[in-house]
Amino acid sequence: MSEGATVFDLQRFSIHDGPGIRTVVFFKGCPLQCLWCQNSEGLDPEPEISFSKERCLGCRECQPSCPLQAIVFNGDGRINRQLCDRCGRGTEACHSGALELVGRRYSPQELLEEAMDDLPFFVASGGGITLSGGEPTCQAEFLSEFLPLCKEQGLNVAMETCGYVAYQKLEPLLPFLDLVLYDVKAVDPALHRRLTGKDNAVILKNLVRLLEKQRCRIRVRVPLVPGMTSTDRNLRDIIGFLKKHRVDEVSLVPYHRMGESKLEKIDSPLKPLNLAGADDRDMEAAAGLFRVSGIEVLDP
Amino acid sequence: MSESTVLPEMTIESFPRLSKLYDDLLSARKEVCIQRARHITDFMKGSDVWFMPPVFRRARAVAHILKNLDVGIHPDELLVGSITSKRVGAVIYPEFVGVLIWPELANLRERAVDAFDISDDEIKELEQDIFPFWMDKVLAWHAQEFLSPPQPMSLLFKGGFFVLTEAAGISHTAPDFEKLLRVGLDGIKEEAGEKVREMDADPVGDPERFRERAFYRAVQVSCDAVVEFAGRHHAEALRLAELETDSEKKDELLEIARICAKVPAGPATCFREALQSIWFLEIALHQENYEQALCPGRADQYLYPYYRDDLEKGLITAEQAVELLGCLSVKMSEFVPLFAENLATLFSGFPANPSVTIGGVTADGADATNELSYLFLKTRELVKTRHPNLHARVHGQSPPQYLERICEVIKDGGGMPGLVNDDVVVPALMAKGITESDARDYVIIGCVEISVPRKTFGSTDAALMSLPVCLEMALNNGCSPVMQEEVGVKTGDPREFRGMDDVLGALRNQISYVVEQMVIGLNVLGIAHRELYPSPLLSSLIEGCIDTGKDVTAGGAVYNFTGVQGVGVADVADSLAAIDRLVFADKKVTMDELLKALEDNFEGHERLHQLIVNRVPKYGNDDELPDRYAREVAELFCGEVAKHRNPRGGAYLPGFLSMTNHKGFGKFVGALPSGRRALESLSNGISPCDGVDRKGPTAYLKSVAKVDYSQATNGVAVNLKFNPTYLRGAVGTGNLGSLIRAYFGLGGMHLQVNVVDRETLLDAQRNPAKHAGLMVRVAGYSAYFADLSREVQDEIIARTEHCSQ
Repeated sequence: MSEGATVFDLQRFSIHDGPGIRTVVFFKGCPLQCLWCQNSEGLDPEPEISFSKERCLGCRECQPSCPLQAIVFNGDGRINRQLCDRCGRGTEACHSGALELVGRRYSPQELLEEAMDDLPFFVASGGGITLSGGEPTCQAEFLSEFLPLCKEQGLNVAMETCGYVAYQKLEPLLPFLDLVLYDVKAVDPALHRRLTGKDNAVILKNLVRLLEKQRCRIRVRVPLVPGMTSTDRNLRDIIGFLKKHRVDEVSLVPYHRMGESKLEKIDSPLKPLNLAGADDRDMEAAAGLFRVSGIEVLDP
Repeated sequence: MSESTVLPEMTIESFPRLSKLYDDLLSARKEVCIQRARHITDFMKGSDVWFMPPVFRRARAVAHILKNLDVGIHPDELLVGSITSKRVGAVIYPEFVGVLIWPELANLRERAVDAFDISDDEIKELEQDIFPFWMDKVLAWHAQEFLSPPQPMSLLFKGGFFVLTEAAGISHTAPDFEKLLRVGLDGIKEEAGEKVREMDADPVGDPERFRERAFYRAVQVSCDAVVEFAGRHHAEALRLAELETDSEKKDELLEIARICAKVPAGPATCFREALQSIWFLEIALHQENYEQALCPGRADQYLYPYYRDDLEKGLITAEQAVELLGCLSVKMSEFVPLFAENLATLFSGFPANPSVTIGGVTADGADATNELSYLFLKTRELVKTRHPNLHARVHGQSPPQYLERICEVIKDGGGMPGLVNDDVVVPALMAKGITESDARDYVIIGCVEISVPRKTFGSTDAALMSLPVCLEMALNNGCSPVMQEEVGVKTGDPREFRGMDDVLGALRNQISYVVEQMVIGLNVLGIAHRELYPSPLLSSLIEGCIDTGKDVTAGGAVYNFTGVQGVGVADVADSLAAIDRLVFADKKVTMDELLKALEDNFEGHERLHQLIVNRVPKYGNDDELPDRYAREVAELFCGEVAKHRNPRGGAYLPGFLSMTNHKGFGKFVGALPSGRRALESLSNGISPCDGVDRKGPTAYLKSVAKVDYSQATNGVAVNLKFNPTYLRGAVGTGNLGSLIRAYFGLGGMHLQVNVVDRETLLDAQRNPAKHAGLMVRVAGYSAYFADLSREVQDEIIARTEHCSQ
């Protein structure tokens, strides 16, 4: 038995993460640290405390609840992260929702139950659930119990992955997945290291092996981050790689700034990029590059 | 469905005539038309009117109005005749609540909400000749003076308990236009004549039956009056044709003249004649009955034989049919209601809601969708007129392309069509004693109300009642904190309540009491309508009246209902959930502390307020606790309403829609345990409170679908708002359709969707002229955003915008 997985959100009515109406399950923990990360609360594998300063009433009722004196009222932040052991007692004492526990432990059964809340909508739309994060493959042991339960229920399951995982862990999941949404961020290893903190050799190798095995279930996705991944050079590299491996469809995912407001709340190691989001023109320009190379651009 | 019926390539530019008529409509100022008021006053001042039986007097009064109304034909029109003498005008009904506008006449041109143009001469005529005559003859005052016990009227005038819309008139029905087209008014007149001859041949019998003679004579007078009114349009068209030099335009006018000579007297024999005949009746019915919800009904069904016949004979194309339907939409939008300022807040955006219902099932349960259903959708896409209020019936076997087309039109903005679920409505109506084939024929009346067309006088918007004020009285031993009156039932000191059963028991008693007072008020108004202002023209088009010799106001229709709405279900549900969780389950606060916080409007109780706002689940999030209370509150209201009967011999039907009364009632409700602060707006229809739904549209709709709609047969309103970018493209359309199907599969009854983004609405607030045609769903109806009061605009902006990323 796995010890369960830490999930920080279940997002219902997602219609751009696989076919139909889907519930996206966001797992905590990720091996990469992409500069533009949209879900920075997904990086750390453990639950953490977020603080929204605009919601704080300053009532200080949270302070006595913390045995470690990790709640502080000097300056903008509220948590002394060195002292905090993330027990969550402070969040319970907070009525305004300024302090919140991000991430909750789920057993496979519990997660299934909650993920199935929208079953009638999945059935009507041909949708299902999409595993995301963070990086779902970090929870390989949990998934080996969770995915068979999903299949017993006939759920359509998609998984979004960065691909940075040992192939032996990835392969056993495949029979349970209807669709793998596989991110390709950069082909040049140096660029990839600069953008994500990790090398991409294993990512590209895994992708090639998956394509050989289960081509129809793999969908490559490219995040378009202005000046980072969506440079002409990088896109041409990606197109070259995909052509070489006879990938003829791709989804493009526009960068947006929504994620940055979360950084401060959890004192994330990531810094705001202050980039403008990718607009329709950026998207069209990038899509054009793929199309002229004979790669179809699908809805994300 | 073939391309020819969906007309995918057609835009408004493909219809220059329609485009011009639509632009004229949008750019016209709203004006008050005093013609009807003038003519009915002249007639009623006549020395012989007191001598006539009321039903006959009413027929003669309406005939007098129709005889004297201006007849005008606007350039480029294909369908002619107008309800008012203005391009966009409001009618005054002084015998109902028209006189309420008297004190506001001077300010009408400048008032902040719903301003109207009116000339100084017109104001003078109203002030000197018209309104003084009516001061002591208004229906509601008659009811108060001669019929009503004091309490219901006293509650009515306090403002915060209920609004008795019937004081303004009844209307709210879908007349038998199918019969009109089949036999013409001459045929109906002949039926009445036949009844009189039968009576004369067998004069012995029920001694009361001679009362019926006056009714039949009234029907005959009414029919003749409408035919004569059409005849004046015939003459006007001939006159204009004579003057016209352009031969094409001359032919158009001659065709108009031909049609006006033929219908509505005789049967219609082509699609265009059918539309013109219906339109003449709409005009005439609006002279007899106030302007709310005189509905064409299932027009795609009864017009279809005429359309198909024309197609087969090569007399019409789909494009021409759309042009004609567009012309009808424009004509129907040339009139708006005039409300006194305090009422304009309750009914913001000029709703009159003649509604058209498309799709659904046939009498034998098969899918009823036809080419005309699609043409109505296409028309809606082309011209976003305020009328007709378009509703699409959907059932489990509705064709996928029908739902897809509906979703495309919804995505195009404006909140139409609204959607209603046959699989829930039909069995619910049958449980109320309606036959299966009649139930399957139901239509939407007005906003979202449900009724069997052709056979029902259902007064579907007779009254609206505040449920939160009942909760307040339950928590204050019968006293309303804002109105400072001990009017309710003594239900005991809430500090002594031992659990939720006591709270619910007290709530039930208060609701029961207010429902009772509302029903008494409506019953006396219903009697007053029968005794003062019967509706013989409308009766001639409602099945049962000619058979029984009884006017609709006297119970002549086959089905007689009175529909009343409960407002603020979500506020009460969230409040009960908070009391349950905080006072009784978790014991985090005492009842006394909670009541003190409510009394202080949460000022100085910020932590408790935050606890309620953030840590107590709210209806609209697929959470069992508040959803169960929403269901219980709805059941409570439905159960109390169902106990009562109206003076027409029919049952009371409960529903949950609010127009914009949730705003008005909110001003009489103090802080609630739901966390809502004093005097703020209440929730809309059966929708969750604005902004509390945080788990997306599926959770929202699952919550809403948990309410039991089998009792709510008067209809409900459910709002959903989407950011357009999220629903872009075929993926968005498809998933919107799936969302609707799954929600209806779960037992949802109704849905209306706004697809508009926040920035557009904010910009429209700042630059109304730039967004003159921007239409949004308000409650059970759509309105131009610029026509809404500031606070209703703010509410629409505040509604949770799903998927705004």
